[in-house]
Amino acid sequence: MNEQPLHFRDIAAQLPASPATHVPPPDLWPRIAATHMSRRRQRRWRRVAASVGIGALAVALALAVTLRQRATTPAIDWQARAQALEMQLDALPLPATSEPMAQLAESELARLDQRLQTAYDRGASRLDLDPLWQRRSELLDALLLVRRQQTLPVRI
Amino acid sequence: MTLARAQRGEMVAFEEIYRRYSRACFQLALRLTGQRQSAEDLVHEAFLKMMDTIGSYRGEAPFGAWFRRLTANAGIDAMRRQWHRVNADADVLLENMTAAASDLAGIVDADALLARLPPHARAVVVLHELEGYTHAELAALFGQSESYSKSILARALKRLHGLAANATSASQVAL
Repeated sequence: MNEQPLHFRDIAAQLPASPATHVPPPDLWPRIAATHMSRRRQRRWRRVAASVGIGALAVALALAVTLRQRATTPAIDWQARAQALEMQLDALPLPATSEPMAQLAESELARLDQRLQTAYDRGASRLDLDPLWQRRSELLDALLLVRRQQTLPVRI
Repeated sequence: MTLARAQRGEMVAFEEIYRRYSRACFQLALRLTGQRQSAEDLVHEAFLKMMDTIGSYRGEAPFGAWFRRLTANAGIDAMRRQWHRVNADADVLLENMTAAASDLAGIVDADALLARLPPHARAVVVLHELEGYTHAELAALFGQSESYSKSILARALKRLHGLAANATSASQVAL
């Protein structure tokens, strides 16, 4: 004879029905609502903190990029300035005699040009080159001053 | 209407859902856990989960059925967290069940009868017999084979049947 499969509902039917007193305690909803609100606040704070963090990171990155640009980009373009001064110098007539000061400046200029050439050959960075161009500008300034004084008309 | 408001996160709507579904949820939790305090914890957890995930409820199944599934799954998750305390070996489990359930005192109704089962066996009986889970689903949920769940169920029901019969005849003798 085949045994009938057992089912819980049939077994339970042998016993009295469960009382309807199985209800959650009255303070359960306030506890659930309080936990939910607390978690919601925490999540909101986490989102705010994350946004602030991302914002701060973006500002820091922008600042770092700006500072780096400032560090790598000189305030004065000494190379352009030196080239402009050289053009001014070329425009002046050559003096009949050379002043000692002018001689000094010219010889230092020649040495400086060699150093510049060496620096370019080894692929020097702008940071290395800039002081050399600055020095060249200063020397050209001095030379221009001397030449201009030499070419001033002499009042008789 | 209430569901739409709940999906927008309105607490008043959640409270309305609680009023409608908390009894059924508590009943299921009590059957799954067998203890009032654990059932309260499960209802607490299930409602929090519902409030977090109600946005994903698309209305394919009735809300009540969706929420019962959520509660049952939360119950199994809780059981998994305590897995080290639950002996998953079928034979040991059923031996324990026999030893623990021999006392007939207090078997006054079906829920009291269910409470005599060890947690794992009780969950299998409740989910399969009352909540309509298939053995394949139970196997996936408990990380066991289908034959394991079938074996637990058959032996648990046999045990419950014997206990119910004895309890009934004992109460008739007492009368």
